[in-house]
Amino acid sequence: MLEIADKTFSSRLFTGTGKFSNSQLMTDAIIASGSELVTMALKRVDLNEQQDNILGPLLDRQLEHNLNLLPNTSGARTADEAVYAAQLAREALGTHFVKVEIHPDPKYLLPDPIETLKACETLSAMGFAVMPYIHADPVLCKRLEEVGVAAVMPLGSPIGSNLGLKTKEFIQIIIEQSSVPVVIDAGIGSPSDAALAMEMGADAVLVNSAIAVARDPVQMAIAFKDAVIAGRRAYQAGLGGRSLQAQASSPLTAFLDDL
Amino acid sequence: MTFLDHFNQLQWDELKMTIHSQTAADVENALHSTRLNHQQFLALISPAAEPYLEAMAQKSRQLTRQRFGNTLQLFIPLYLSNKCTNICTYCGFSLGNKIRRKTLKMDELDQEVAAIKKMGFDHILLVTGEAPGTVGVSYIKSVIERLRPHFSHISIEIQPLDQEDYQSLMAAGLDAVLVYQETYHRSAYEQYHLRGSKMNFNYRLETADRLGRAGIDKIGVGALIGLEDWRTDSAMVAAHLDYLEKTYWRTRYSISFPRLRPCEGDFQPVSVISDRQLVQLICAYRLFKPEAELSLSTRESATFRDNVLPLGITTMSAYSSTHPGGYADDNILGNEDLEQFTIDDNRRPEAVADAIRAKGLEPVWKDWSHCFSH
Amino acid sequence: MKSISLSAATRLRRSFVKHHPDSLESCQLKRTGTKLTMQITVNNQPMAVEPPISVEALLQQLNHLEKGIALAVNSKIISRSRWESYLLSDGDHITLIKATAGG
Repeated sequence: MLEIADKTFSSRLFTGTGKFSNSQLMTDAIIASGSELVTMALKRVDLNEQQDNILGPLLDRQLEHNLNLLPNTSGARTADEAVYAAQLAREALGTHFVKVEIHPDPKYLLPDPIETLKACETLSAMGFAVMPYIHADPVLCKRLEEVGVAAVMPLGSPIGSNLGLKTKEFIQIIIEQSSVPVVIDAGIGSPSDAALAMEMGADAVLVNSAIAVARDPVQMAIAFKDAVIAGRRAYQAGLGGRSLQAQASSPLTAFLDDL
Repeated sequence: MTFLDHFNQLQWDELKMTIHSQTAADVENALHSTRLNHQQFLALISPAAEPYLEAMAQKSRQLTRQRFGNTLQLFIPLYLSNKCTNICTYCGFSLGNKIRRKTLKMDELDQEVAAIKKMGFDHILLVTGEAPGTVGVSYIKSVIERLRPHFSHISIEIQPLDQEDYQSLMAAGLDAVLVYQETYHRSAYEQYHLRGSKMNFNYRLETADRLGRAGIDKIGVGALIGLEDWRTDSAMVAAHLDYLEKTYWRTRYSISFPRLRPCEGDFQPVSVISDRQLVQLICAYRLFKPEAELSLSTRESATFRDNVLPLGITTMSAYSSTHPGGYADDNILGNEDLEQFTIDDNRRPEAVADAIRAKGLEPVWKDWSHCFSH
Repeated sequence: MKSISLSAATRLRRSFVKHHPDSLESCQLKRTGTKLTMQITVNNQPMAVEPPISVEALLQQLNHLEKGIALAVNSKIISRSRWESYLLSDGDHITLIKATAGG
């Protein structure tokens, strides 16, 4: 079981709601994935559109499937905007969980570390369970821990790129050094990427694009579900590790025989 | 929240059992992993790892070279005082022991410094017993201030202090503090420490936390091997280090493995660690924490030190005198009735440096510079 | 067309201001025929509304009184528990947001 702030999750696969072709498909896929934490964005209500209820089918089944909501601050470009967005989200959805997502760069959607750190410090003090989306920067993760975040969410590769764990070596360092849960978010393109992240010791992964744009999102969601379980089990079972090709050198401990 | 909270969750007997139930498969798993966890460290210090010593040594050597290059940092300990208000049954300075007590006055200190500088040292470790009346914070602070212009790195091994005291010493130029828990076995600790402030197990255990919060550059941890089961005590040191690295992540760490030596009082160790096992322990630490400084003192013989150096040691003392006033006056060197423990490697620094070079390593005298900090 | 006399309008205004201190700022009432209106924006869309109007009433009017939304007036969040009692003022900028799909 995974604990983040005051919540417990039996699934280590978190999902997003974007890019699906329709909201029923999104709902079916998320439920098939077994995910218990779903992230969503905020937008202004379109006053002319009365039938805008994209998340409706999902929210209707929230209790039935133990779906926890993780609103994100996507769209915010500064710490102030993110704090404002988080407060609106808390008000709208009734949850103190928030994913701080500040990407002023519209091309690659890479996160702004400085605004993110500022926003997280403010939001933690306001009682939010903060989960920041950031680059895989180990020092930044420790700084975020110090300001009281509930977890860290380093990216594997740019959002939507499906490039997998390009930041693998740095994720490894983060996992080693972190005292809060580590959730790999962004860029996980295939179930094998997810399994690898879990084998490395990640606490959870967040997958959106790879499921939403698959030919059969529901089947892909199930594949990810299985991959995350397999990866975690392998991690707990203790992987054999690759052997190190040590440079052969003369015996170093023979002197002990003479002592 | 300090290490004490984590420590209270650890069970000595359970740890001991876990160590002794490690198998060859566990050891191989640890040997083939990078970024070992605590469980894997236990495998490496277990009896099951003994046949793998050469493999451990090879990997330890490789990791050390990779991280530290082909260098070895030299430092010298300077005993400022052997006055002590504690009774520690294993120590030559223990309150009950009839030895001549001495505390260096400032002019004597100057003479020691002159002698030490002539030998080439630039990193110094100041050592005292615990006697706050005589060698309290203000005395230590004056010494540090006096030494600052002459040494690029100053560390201390004295009684545990409050955080504010450490901050005050840091402002004067303190770089590192070594504080060994002696043994992490609480009731054994009580039996060894019969009088004085050192009886306070918790306060000592939380010293590293106070240092981390003070923002010191380097913290040294370790156990006095022999006071209790050496494997379990080492497992505790490793757990302590793990916690500290995660919590005070801006700090560097140093590990030491002092083995109990004969001293005034004829104390016999409860747990004996052989030379082979000490090598195993050193390599295990290196594999567990590739970035930690591993320090070897002159308690060990010259032969042992020379052979162990290339395996994973990164810093060592040379030509140590464990009594106050031991350097300026060569006649005093070897004056047993002032010593804390008997030295086994008495070589002069030049001889030690030669031995280091013979092993393909470069002795480094200075590795630190206060350019932009204080 | 019957027009309200100036004194009657003044009396109406004073009584309005007395009973609705929230709308004390920028009280710019317009006369449109026999009715008073206020100019506000909702999600940047200009709108005319009849005072006194609460947040709840506005949402009802817009057909958006629903769960899962949050509302701010002049960038100050007004929590749901205050919607019934909070009265809008002339010139208010209302932001209405809801959760939507997005990773």
